[in-house]
Amino acid sequence: MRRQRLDDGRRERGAVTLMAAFGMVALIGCAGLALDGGMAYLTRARLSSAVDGAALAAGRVLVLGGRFAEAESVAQAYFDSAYFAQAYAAGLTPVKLNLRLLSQRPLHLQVSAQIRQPLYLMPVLGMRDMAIAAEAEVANTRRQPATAGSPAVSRRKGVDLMMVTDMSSSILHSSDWVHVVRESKKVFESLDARSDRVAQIIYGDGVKTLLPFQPRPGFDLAEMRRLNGVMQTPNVPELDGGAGGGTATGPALAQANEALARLPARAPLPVLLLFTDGVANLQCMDPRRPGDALSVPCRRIGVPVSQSSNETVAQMREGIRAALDRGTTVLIVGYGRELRGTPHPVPEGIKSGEAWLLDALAQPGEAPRLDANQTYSNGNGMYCWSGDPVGLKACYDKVIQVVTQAGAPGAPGSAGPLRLIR
Amino acid sequence: MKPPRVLDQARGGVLIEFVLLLPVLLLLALPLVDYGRAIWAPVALNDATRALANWLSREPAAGLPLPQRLQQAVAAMHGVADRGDDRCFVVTWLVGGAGGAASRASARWPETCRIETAARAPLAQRSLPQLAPGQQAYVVEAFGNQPPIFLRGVLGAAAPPTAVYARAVF
Repeated sequence: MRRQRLDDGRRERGAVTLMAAFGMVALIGCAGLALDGGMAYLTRARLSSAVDGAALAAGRVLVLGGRFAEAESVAQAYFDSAYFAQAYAAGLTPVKLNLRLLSQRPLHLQVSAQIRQPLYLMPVLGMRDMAIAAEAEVANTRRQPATAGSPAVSRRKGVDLMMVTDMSSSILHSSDWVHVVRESKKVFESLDARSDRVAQIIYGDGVKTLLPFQPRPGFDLAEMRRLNGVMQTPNVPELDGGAGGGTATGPALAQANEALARLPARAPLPVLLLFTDGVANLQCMDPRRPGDALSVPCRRIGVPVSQSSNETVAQMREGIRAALDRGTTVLIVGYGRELRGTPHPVPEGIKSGEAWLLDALAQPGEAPRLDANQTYSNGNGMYCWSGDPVGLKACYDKVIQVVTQAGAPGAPGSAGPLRLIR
Repeated sequence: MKPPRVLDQARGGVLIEFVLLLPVLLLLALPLVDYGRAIWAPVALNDATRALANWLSREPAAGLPLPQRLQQAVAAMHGVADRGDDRCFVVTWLVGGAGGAASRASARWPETCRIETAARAPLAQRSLPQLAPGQQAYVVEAFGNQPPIFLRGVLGAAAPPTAVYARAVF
């Protein structure tokens, strides 16, 4: 009797210890799941973020025409800087990024990285390490507006062309003004008066809309021709309020954006064509409420141009950015000495008008440069500088190529800003 | 009447054993809470730096000085960067120059960063990407302190907080 009692007690006591021992394995397993799982989750988050940055950096290199090997090394540098700087990663072996170019134009790039993460507590359950992978994709394809039942695309896309023309006194009194007018005539003449829309804004001391957009597709070609003739002789009352004086580029762009935004049934290719010969030096609106163009009398800031205030150029830049954000292709023809100067890349607080214009058009993280033909272009649009009538013609020829979509794939209008798509 | 007594005795033994084992079990289980929090903190910081870097590299507010842009970025993140109070973001904007020299601007948020770690390691020692002329990079770093709840309960204020660090290069 007594013996049995003792036995009973001992057996039960042993059972608890045994249970605890078995439980401990399960407990350590659970703890391992939490610890190692948490660590793996953190590693994946870090890996993924580093790969994102690397993919964007590599994409930028390729958009700017860099070689693939160059993109690879840049991606690796960004990745290493992000990933290995994390204190915990000190003991990990280097990770080789994997780049896969799915398409050059428009750009579509896939970047991935895999690592094997050592586990600390999971070996109890027989797992020594764990594969962790991260992947990012960047592309600069333009988001296509959904068109219901789109017909077979045999002809080019419709265009909404907003022409914004600088008529400040500096260019009006130049002997080259007549060339500007003649070249811009070729642009609207190259479009289809039945299916494309054209509007004309001029600016100087003020901003004036000579021809607004029609609500329906098409534009009044005869009226545009007449206005083009009028613009050749600047001292006509019809141009008052828009011609002569300073350079109100910012307000003109604001008005252009508003007109483009109000358009019913936008065309697939909205284009803003800006001709300018100088740095914006007039401010005509409250910068905190850019919609209120011209609600305040214009205020002249900074003449001569070398003292042009950052405020007015910033407004000009914002106008271009706002257009780009709405998916408008921005084509800029810059003319004359005033836009030259400041080398690129430009640091913060840049002053030159050309630098501001280029910077506004640039892809994120890019320092835009003019090529041998004084032109810079990317998926956002184009900037073309000229100093004489020959250069002017070359610039406008490029503009016509873009609006008539005669350019090669990858020309402005076919690509959008570089972005992460996954 | 005797058998119940036997059972009672045995149950008492089990109870004693359990009580003896309990601290061991608790010691194993409770730090997991702190550990979970210590894992969560860098993940949250990591997500915030990534979001900030992505926003900044797109530059919707380009043209503004970096500190203002950082402020706008934080505002645009709808409080992602705001979660928790003991943290601090440092943005370094690098622009590659000729000969490998990069110009840089930096800003921090909040401007009155209380975390000293941010200043402790000079930036140059935390590896930065080599940039070609004209290339730009935004290095967003986050520094945080994560106080351990469980250890604080045991050791009081003597338990040191875990330093948390995250960075994104875009």
